[in-house]
Amino acid sequence: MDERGAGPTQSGGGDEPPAAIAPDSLGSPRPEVETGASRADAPIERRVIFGLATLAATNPVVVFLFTDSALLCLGVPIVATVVGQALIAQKAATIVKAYFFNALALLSILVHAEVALTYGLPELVIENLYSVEGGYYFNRPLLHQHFDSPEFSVTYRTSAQGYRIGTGQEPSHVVHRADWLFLGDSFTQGAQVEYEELYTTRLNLHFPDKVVVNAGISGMGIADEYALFRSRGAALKPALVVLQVGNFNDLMNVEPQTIGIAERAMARFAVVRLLLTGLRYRDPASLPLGRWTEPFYPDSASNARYNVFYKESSAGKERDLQQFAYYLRLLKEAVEDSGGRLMVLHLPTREQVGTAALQEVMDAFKLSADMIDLERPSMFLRTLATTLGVDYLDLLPSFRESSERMFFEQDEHLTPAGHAVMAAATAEYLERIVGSPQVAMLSRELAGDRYPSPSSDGTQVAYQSIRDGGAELFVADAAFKERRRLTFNRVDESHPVVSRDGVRILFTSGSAESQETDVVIMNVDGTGRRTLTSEPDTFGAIPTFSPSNLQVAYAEWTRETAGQLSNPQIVVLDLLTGTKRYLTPPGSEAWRPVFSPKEDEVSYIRKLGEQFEIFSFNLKSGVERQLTDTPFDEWDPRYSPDGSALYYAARPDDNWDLFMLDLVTGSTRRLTRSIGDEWDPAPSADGRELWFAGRFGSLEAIFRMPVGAER
Amino acid sequence: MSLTSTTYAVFLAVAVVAYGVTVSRHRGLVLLLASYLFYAQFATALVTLMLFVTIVGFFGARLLVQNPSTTVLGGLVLLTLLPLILGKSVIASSFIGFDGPFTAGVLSSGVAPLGLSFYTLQVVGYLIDVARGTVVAERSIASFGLFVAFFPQVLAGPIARASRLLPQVNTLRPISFENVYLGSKQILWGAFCKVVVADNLAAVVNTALDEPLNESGGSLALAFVLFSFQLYFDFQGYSNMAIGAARLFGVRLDVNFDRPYLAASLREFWRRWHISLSTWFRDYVYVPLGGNQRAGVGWVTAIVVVFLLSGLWHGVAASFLLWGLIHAAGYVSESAARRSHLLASFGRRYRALRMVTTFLFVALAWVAFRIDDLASIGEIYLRSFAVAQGAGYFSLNPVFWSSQMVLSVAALGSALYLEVPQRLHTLLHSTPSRPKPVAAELVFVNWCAVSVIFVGQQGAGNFAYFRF
Repeated sequence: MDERGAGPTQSGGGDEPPAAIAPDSLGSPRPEVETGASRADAPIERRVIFGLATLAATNPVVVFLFTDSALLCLGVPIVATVVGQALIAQKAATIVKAYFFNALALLSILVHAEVALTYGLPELVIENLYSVEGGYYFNRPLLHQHFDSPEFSVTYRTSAQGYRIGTGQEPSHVVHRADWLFLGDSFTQGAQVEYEELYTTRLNLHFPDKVVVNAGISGMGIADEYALFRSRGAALKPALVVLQVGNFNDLMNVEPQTIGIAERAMARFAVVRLLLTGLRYRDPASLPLGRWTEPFYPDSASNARYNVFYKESSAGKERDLQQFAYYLRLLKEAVEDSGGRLMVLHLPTREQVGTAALQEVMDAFKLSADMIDLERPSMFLRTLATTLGVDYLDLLPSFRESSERMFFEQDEHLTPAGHAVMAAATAEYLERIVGSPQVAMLSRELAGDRYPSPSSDGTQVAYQSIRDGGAELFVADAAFKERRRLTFNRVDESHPVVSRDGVRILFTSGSAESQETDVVIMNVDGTGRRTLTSEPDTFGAIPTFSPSNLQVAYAEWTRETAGQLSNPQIVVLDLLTGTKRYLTPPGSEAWRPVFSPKEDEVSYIRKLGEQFEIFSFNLKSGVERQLTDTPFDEWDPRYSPDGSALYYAARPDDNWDLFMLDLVTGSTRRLTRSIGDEWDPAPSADGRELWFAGRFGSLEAIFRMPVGAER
Repeated sequence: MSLTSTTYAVFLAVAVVAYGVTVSRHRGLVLLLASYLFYAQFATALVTLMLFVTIVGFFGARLLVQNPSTTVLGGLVLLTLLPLILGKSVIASSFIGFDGPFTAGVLSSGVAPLGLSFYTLQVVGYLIDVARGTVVAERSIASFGLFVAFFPQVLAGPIARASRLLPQVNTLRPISFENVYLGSKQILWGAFCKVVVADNLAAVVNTALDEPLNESGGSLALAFVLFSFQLYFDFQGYSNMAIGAARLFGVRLDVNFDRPYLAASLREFWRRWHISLSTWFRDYVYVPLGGNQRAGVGWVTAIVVVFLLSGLWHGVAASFLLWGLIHAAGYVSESAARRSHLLASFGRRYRALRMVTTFLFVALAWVAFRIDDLASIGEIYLRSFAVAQGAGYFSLNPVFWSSQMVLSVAALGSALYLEVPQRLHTLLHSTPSRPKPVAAELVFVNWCAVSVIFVGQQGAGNFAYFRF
């Protein structure tokens, strides 16, 4: 209007009527605008028209379909109508009215489009895998996806917390603590391989009593990983945080990723994803070599700017490296503040490892050998890690030694073999830090195996495992190589115990939730199934054989006249005569009896106040003795083969650990000190090993550890 | 902090509120503080340079009042230009890189003497004006400091004249709804030009020019036509954001562009393109060289000097010198043609044809802005003109058939639709109290805002959302 001094160029005739571009059908309150400033009372027709328009825009049905909330489907139209009517009654503020109805119209269009797409054309919906948390993306919880490409086909599941889990693992399981936390990008997320093939899973199987959490997310850089550690990681109090760094793109554009309104809208609205995905994300087939070649670029300016291997540098590249050092220091400090230590795991690119890939890039992008230095990132990171006092493992030598095909061809990520090499090298390094693993995992599938019960000769072990959503019984050899499933049905079967002669098996049958379970005995070959708690309204659980196989003990309870269930009592049943002997008083909750090797004693847990303590009952004298007296729960007692000690699980901290009570001296020894849960201790026949079930993060299985020779 | 980031929006909002609640005599201090915070955000080390230029300018002007000799003025001008000359020659890189003047890559390098080229010229102009007696030496160092550091325009202009800006920083007006509304609208339009038009065009142009020497002549010609629009909307977008941000505080900055590609001659082009710089060169270089009074060799010399200096100002590189020479040659030839009787009559007709010719000339000169080695520039010229090579000329890079191209052309088309027939002028100046057709206003704001949010290039592509 009054830009003076702008030179002789301000051409006149600029005020031609912009009405030419105003579509009449906009649905915006144009008539309102021209008169609103001068009238105190809006005529009734206008109120009605705008009221109807507001209601149409905030159609309760559509709002309900979008929000799934009865409250909002009523609340939104009411609030919009009230505000709209109040604004119309206002004298001035034309522009405010205009913008209010404008915003309403825009939101309404968006929500209507979203509802139309998700309900009318669901086949067009692009599944959203991530949710926005703070300043970064994380896996959406409870995903169950299949990723198929010409090179791989994998299942991708996440837990309720958004961490990736294996096919047999329980999504509702929540991880509160971690021993090792892995931060990284798509190479750690590893969505191109199955969960069991991931390097973090392989490491976890090597160090099974560690709670390992993989928080790798595609596209993350160190700034996002730092943000993720602060918001999610620090609460897990990991003793070790492993930061996976790739030369692919982790050393370029070192800054937090931009998550603006559009990104949030994409995460929330399928219709926005549909419209924007094609524009925003490049198909690798459209790239110069038909594959991702970062950090190599076709032109020298981009290489000087971004490519860490390219000798010619630029201010931008130097700044990226400085930023990387800056964030690494912040991360190190944050990790140490939460009581852990930081380790950098440095992953090479395909071009550093294979000459063919390098030659392809050099030919295509006209690079000569003297323009690039493939060792530069390692030099940079090693120096930086030394300066900061951070553990550093360069995977380049291991990758160069291996002859496996470690990267996919079109996809730039690691194959299962690549993950295996990465896991092996990392395991070797970690053993130097934490020592060789003492605990070995026996289970071969991640299927919630529990209750290991070795036979007295040590050649086989019975256990329970989840199949098709329920617990079933299995028998395996001592190495878990041969596994035989004993039961095939829809009923939960658990707590198996094999008789000393190896002929019969005793177990609990029925769902634990219903609390109406039975004790069942059958032959190991599946024949001769017989319910021991067959009397009406009588239930039982967690049975055990006596060493002579003539008696069994279990917890028994009944439905009382009022329909309520009584507290379980420990009962010993003579299999020959069918007579029962109750060891514990009625009314006091008791579970999990075990016979001493000499069959003169039964130990079990009984509730005193709020806690379970271990008791033993002398079958000859009829005297009960309290063996433990602690302010925390004890569970799962089991005699050592010579009867001189009792193994059990207890929860002195917030998790279960294994203990040994010396029955001669009365002293206790703590056997484990993990942050996971160890349960169901069962000594091997020679007493040198302890078998147990445990849960370490998402890893729930049967394990074995040495306990040394018996006293 | 990128100027199209949420951080900058928050910074502006905080600055407006702080300014609004401050009593009138301290408003300048609020803006000065905000300006230094803003500048230090980008380049802490350069604050000292800014202080140096400010001090030289402020005390130099007082010295000039006492002793207005050419020697003193010359010494002061050289002293003011010293950081710029050193900065430009030490860092022999272009200031206006191909990404445009204010993208993250250029701004965040931390080494480029950011903004120095702009505020230095502003101070030099001030000193000359004081010596000429057309401007009174500023008495308050705070006001002068704000004149140098005023954050909306410190990074890349528009280069303000002391006679326009100094009186405004001395009489800062209270916040008004009208100014905030109009300023915000202009910032939105600027952001649209930058992130929607220029940056989407950049995505096409950068792909097409990944390896320029492997491209056909047709691809190169088309890429440089698009690059011309990219450059224009990038810089014009920035300028609008600067002018809008100043407007929030009631400060009026001069327009920097006036639809330059509608120029029908180079002379007209230079009155419409980067007006604050070209008028600066006109008033402080061309006129002192006697360019407006001389003819023949003297005039030609003045023109060549002005264009070469302008090239060097953009960056100390052979390509920028070449660019300056091309423009000087074109300008001189055009002037000669205008004097010749035959072409003079032509010069008054066929405006459309002359517009297209001028645009193509300017677009060809821009090649030197995008490509830095002279041999490649020569090759590109040869290929672009070799239409005769047949069908090979038209084998275009696939990016020109991509959805990105469709988006870019749609964005460009909508911007030109608004700008060419001056619809924009009405839209940008329709105030809340005197609304022009509100429907048009809303369509405009919706179009800009929705495009900036959803198809702006800011931050896109650095996260492979659906990619594993």
